[in-house]
Amino acid sequence: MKTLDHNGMSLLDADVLARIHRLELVARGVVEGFVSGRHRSPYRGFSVEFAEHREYTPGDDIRDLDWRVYGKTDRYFVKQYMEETNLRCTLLLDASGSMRYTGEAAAQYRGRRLSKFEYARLMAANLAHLLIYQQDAVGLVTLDRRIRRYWPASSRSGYLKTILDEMAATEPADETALAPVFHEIAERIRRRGLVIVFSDLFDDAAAILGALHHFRFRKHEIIVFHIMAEEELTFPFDRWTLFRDMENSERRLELDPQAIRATYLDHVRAFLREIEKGCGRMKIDYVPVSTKRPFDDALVSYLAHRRFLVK
Amino acid sequence: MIFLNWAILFGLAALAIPVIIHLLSRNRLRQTDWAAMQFLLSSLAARRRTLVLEEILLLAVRCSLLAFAVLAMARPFIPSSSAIPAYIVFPSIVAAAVLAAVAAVLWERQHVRKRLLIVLASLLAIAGLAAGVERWVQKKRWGPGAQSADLAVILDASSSMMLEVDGKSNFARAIEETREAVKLCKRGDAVSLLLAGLAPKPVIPVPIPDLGEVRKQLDSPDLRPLGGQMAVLDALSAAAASLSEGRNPVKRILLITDGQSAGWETKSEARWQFVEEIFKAMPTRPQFICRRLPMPRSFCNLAVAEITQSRPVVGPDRPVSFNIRIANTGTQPARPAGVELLVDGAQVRREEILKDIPPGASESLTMPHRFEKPGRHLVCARLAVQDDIEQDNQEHRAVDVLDRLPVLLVDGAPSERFFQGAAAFVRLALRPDRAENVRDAAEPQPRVLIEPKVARASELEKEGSLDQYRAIVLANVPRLGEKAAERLTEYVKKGGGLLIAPGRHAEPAFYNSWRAPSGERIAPAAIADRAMPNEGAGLDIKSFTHPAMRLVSDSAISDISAALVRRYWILSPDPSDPGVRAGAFFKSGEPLLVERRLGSGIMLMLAIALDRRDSNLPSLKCFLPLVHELVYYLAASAGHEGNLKPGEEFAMDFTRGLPGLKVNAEVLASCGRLGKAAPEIITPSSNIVPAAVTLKAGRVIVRHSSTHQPGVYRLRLPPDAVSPADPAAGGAQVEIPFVVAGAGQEGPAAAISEADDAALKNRVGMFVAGSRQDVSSAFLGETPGREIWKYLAAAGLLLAVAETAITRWMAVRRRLNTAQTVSLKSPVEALFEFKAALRKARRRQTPEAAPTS
Repeated sequence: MKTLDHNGMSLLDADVLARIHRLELVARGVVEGFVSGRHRSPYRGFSVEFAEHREYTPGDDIRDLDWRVYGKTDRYFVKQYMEETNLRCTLLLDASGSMRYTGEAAAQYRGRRLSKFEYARLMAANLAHLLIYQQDAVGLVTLDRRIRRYWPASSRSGYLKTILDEMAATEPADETALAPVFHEIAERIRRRGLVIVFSDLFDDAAAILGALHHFRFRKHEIIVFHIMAEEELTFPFDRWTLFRDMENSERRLELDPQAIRATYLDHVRAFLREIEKGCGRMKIDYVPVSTKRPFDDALVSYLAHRRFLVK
Repeated sequence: MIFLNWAILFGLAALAIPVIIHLLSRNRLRQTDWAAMQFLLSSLAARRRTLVLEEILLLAVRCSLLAFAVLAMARPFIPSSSAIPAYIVFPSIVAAAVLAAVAAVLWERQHVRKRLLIVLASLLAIAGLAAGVERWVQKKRWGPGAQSADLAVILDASSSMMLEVDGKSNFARAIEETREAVKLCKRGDAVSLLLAGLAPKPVIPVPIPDLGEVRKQLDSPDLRPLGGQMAVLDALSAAAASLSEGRNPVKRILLITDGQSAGWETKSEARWQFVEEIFKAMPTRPQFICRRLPMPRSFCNLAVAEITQSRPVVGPDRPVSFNIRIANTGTQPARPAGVELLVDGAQVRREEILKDIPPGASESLTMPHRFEKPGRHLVCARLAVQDDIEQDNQEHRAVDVLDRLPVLLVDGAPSERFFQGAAAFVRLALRPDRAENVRDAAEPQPRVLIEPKVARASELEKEGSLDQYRAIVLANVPRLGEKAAERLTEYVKKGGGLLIAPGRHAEPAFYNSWRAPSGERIAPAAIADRAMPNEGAGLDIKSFTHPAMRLVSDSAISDISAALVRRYWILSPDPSDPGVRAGAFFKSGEPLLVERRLGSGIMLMLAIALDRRDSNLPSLKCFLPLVHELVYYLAASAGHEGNLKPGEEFAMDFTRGLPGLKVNAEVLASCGRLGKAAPEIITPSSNIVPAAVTLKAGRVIVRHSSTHQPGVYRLRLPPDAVSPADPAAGGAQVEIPFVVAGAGQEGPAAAISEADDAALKNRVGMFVAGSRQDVSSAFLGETPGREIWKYLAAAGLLLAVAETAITRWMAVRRRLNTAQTVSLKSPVEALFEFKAALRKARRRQTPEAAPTS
């Protein structure tokens, strides 16, 4: 969906925002933030949330003594509290040519079918709004076979619009080379945080997993929204078809789809399985999404499930 | 291969339908942009070659199915005698169908497509051309069947045709099929009929349109196998000759045989070429149809192949040996219970064969017999055996036993002193017991056969009829007067035997210039020079090839190696004269003995005189048998031939009389005229036919030419013309037997080979009809052969099943209806559902576990 004046705010949907604002996106692990926020800080300190007991040592504030524990044990213990901080989240939006694919079965939004990129962009935009709403920092990286634009995470109020405008202005093109780009991004994001990938991951699975492992090495938490069109998952073609590569106009294949459908689906299935397994090993939230499903459903569903699991 | 509904072949254009459908489906391409190329490419890489092969296979099966359907509807027909092999037309079309499929699948590869289409077009062109040519050839060969035809039917009348197959003899079967062939004849067709044995016997010699008469001949009980083997070439020549007498435009020869190779002479190129020339020379080349009847796979047959006698001249003075050869012409080893020798119907001897004779082999027996009475005797060798062909279990031979053998010795150098005469030693050798040559009138049956008479050369002209002598010897005769020379020439031509033994008195000029009125040389060789080697000349015994020299050439019993020739004439036979041959030589290489055949008689010429001046031969023990053998050899030619080959004319000259018979030549000459009974011939099948009597140059000859059937014939003569010499025999009618040999000469059972069939097909256009339908097709102007549409239809049906199976197999392979789409399930969702379920389960358990306070 191309906004006429790259108005990123048009990417936001009030209904969607209303649904997801009831939810929150909380980091699973500890994150390093600048300010106090929702997310656990790796650092111990005093804050609202009780963390654990510690034996009293002379000098501790006697207001922190837990008298209930004394009554039970005749020993003096003080309470420790979690220091909460804000989340630094970087959204990685795949803008390669393959993301331009729409398909007949894609969900419609505002009267038109969404391409994979538009789908991803809407998810990313509304999620970015949620994060800013949570007073978390949000950054954006648009990429194809290289980094197009990198907006480091920030929680400034006007930053959201900048990011949304950037998203609105991005058009998918060029070929995909995710793995090297991910490696590059992993090097550039210094502080641990949350990385959310919106892509069809059309690259070598092992290379992609290797790149994701780089993020994990940097102690980032990762969520991968693997966005694919319904046709890519069902391959519904029944007569001789000329397939034109969306990333390389020179490459065309003329074949009888019925002849290779089963093999194609096997390959896709294997690919997804490999990505899922690899993400599972690395404790990466792997969210395969078909564009046939409304984006808000997918987003809300994920956030709700995550919230339940993180609690 | 030809097509009876050839127009249907245009339906082969339907081959283009699956090709067009295939191409159209590819041309009506849907085009789409696609993102997940990596999966398409990987899928294609795994299956590309298989996909192409599967497509080619399916399309090829579909195209072939259509091709088979069209070919079946076109009613393909394989002629029994194809000019072009069927494996050119049919596989070319099917191959073209397959290539069409391949071209369709590989359409986008222009280069490949172009080549495939060129090959396809070529194959179709080849198939079309082959079918067209075949059609033309067959039409040319069989098309004229619609016109009136002259048909010469040749029935194989050999011994093997008497073998039974499925309870019926092949000969009976052949007659049946001939009747069917006659039924197929149209109005205006004419038929001739021949029995083919050792000599072809015309039953209906010239094609006749009266088919009723033909049927009558076929129904005649006289129509039976002749025995022996079938001389195919003679039969075909006779058939061609009979067809030449016909008036219809189409000529056809139908030979019905069991296909025994004996008699076909397939290796004789020259003879078959001759037949081919005969066929070509006819106004219309005849169709030659050979109908093969089945032979039994196994049968047992022994035959008397031949019976020969050890000496050509037989007398009552000594025994003669009969050599009997028994052949196993069947397929199983066998031996007779016994072999009998009968003389004039009475068994005189019986022998046994101790071991089985293998199939194709023969065994010989020798049985001696001494005849008591002069005259013609019938000797029969008979097998005591039960086998599948009885006709060849016996063989006959006519033997003339002489009562006397008069020999005239012309002494060219007579002398008062007996042993000085040129003919003395010869005279002594021929009749050692008496010095005179007179037959003792007191002894009506002489103990010694040979009766030599010596006459001076100067008295030769006054000598009575020379015909009374079986042999004449010119012993050192210098020359002959003109009349004497003429008489001798005539004597030899009429069948006499003449031995010239030139000595020192012989005048080469006479012998070298002795010629017949027609100009041909009389003496077997020219006398060149007189040789007188100092050391004497030895004889080269190894060079003795003449039958008269055979006995003395056996060094185990003969002392001829001790012969020393002091003087001899150098003979020079004419090498270009086919009637001349040298039968013995000196060690120096010059001829010792030369033979010439002149007319019916034989002349022998020695290089030496038969006295002691030229050599020491008369003092050797071998001299007597040598002289006897020379005389017997000459006397044999003067005999009356009582043993003929089939087809050979029987001619008996009664001018010189017959041993044991009194002949009234004048009465005999008048037989058949002026109301007098003619001599008759009783054939082996007991038919009685008149014999012809001819009178020529004072000679009375009885003739009979219809000797096609092997067996014993009897010449019955009126009593007043010929009567037994023995008054005790009374006035019985005289029957003189003569034999036409060959009943047991068919040879071992062997079918004619396919290679020979093919060779004959090429040479004389022989068409082998394997069935009655083939014969009837040929007669009706249709091409004989068989339709094969049923097989193509069955094949097409199988292809249809195969097409379904292949389609199904491909669907299974491609999991067309079973491939599951990829469903997405987030692990987060899955974990959520799991934890939710776990929590629910715990909540159910918790109220029970909570302790009561």
